[in-house]
Amino acid sequence: MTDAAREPTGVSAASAPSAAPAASAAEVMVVALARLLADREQVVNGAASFIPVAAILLARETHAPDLVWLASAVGLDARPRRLPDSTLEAPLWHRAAMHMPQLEDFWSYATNGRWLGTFCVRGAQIDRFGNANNSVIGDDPQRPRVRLPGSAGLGDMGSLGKRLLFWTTTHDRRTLVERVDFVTCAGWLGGGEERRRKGLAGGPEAVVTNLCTMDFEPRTKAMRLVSLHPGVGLDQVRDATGFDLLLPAGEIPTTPAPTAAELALIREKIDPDRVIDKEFPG
Amino acid sequence: MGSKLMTAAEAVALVADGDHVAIQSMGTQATPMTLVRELIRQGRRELTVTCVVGGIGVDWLAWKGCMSCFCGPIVSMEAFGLAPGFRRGVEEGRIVFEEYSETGILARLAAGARGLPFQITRGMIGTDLPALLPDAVREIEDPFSGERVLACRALRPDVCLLHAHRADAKGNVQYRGGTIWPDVQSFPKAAARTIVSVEEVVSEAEVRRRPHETVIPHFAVDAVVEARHGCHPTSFFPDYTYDQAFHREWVAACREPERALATIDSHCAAATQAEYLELIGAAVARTRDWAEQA
Repeated sequence: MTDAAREPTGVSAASAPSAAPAASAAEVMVVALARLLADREQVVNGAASFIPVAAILLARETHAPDLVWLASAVGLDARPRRLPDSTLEAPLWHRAAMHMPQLEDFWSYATNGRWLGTFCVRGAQIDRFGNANNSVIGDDPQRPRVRLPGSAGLGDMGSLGKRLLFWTTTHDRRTLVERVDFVTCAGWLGGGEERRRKGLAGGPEAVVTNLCTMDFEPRTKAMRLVSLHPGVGLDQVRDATGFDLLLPAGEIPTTPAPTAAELALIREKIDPDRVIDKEFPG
Repeated sequence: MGSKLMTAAEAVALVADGDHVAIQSMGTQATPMTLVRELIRQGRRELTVTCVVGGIGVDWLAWKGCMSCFCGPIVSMEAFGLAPGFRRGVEEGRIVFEEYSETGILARLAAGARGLPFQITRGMIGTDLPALLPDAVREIEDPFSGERVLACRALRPDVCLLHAHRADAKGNVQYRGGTIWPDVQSFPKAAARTIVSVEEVVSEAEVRRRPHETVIPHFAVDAVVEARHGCHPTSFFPDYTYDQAFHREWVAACREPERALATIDSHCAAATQAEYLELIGAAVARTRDWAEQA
């Protein structure tokens, strides 16, 4: 993170009447992810997903008041008092309209194609074609160099026609790789039409990292830069990416900086305990 | 019908070395830890363990050499990170991690529960998971549409360990506020034997006052063990939350194997739940206050 990233960003933001205070990397990610969530979209969060949950809460407070949220795949339209220390435990389901039994209800609503269409995914590795690995690092899956936690619902969500929004707080060459060591979550597979040929609908749409926002070029399905976060340079992103990242046509946009109103919502209402900053230790 | 009330030691004696044991668990939630500690006390070996989301219980079984295989979707202590002993066991080749997606393992259990040869899922298609599961998962064709789906072979664990709010001596098991997580619904139907620890043993008359809270019928239950706060240090909604301090200290202890093993041994030394509650002391009150957190 450069010093510039901590400054109020962009000429327009600095000179605007309500100049926003400097946003942290976590806050920039929350806002970028929130803006990808449309009103009335139906989104589910998984474990240890503090940034997506903060983004969901922010989207609901701003442009997406009718966002449907199944908190940790249990709490329908939950209203947690603040972002808790776990995105799986009961404090997140606070004042939910329903505690959805997972076996018969959640997995039926989630698999039949009509509901719960969006899932936020973090992978230990994410590759150029949006495949994610949360299983093993190394050449031999039976005897891995690093045993990661495992698929959980990822191995399902990638295959069930969901809109996948990836996020990672560690945009580096270990995370953003040419090819994942193991496909836990099916993305665009080998690119092009391979995913569709396999009969899989949906797929990865965006990647929000601590440095930038990316999408996937429609024809090749290769990852493509959308915008650099405030204060981040193109070379910095290229150096931190383990493959040849496609660039947008023309001038490269800057991710719109969080507004003063968005920051106030995050700091005062959504996450007064600063749980999201724990994603950036030190 | 005779009483199914047992001590934890008597109940866990129903588990044999080499058994496939399905253990209720959702990360830091709802793990029958009193029963898990008893597995360790009795020195079970070569267990295959299935959880929906394994947590500290799986980690302890791994540290103590009780298990040789995990068959399920994930082992994680969520905000407290990977389960260090389990992870090392897999990386060193002592434990096999037979990894499934969530719908994959649930389909296997559903087939086991229904007495069917397999159940199908659309999960895992396109991932590298099925190729490592040739004996459990195969791609087949829908005979009606021709679509490719994954057949997941029936899984019938030898025994399952669950924790519930209440049960009577006959074995009717009750949950307050319904069952949220999938294990309670599927494990007792698929497993050959079912052992349930409960916060409180109540009379059959009391059960009959709240039949809507009964989620497992007595005929599917083999043993009932009273263990108040029996999920500690994991949470048990809505009675108590997870013990954050305990999990943090556990992660710290795992940096030195001797300390990790000493932590497990000192907690497994408690012969009864009353002794255990004395050992953890203030944690009982600390974790009972859901409202404070929620």
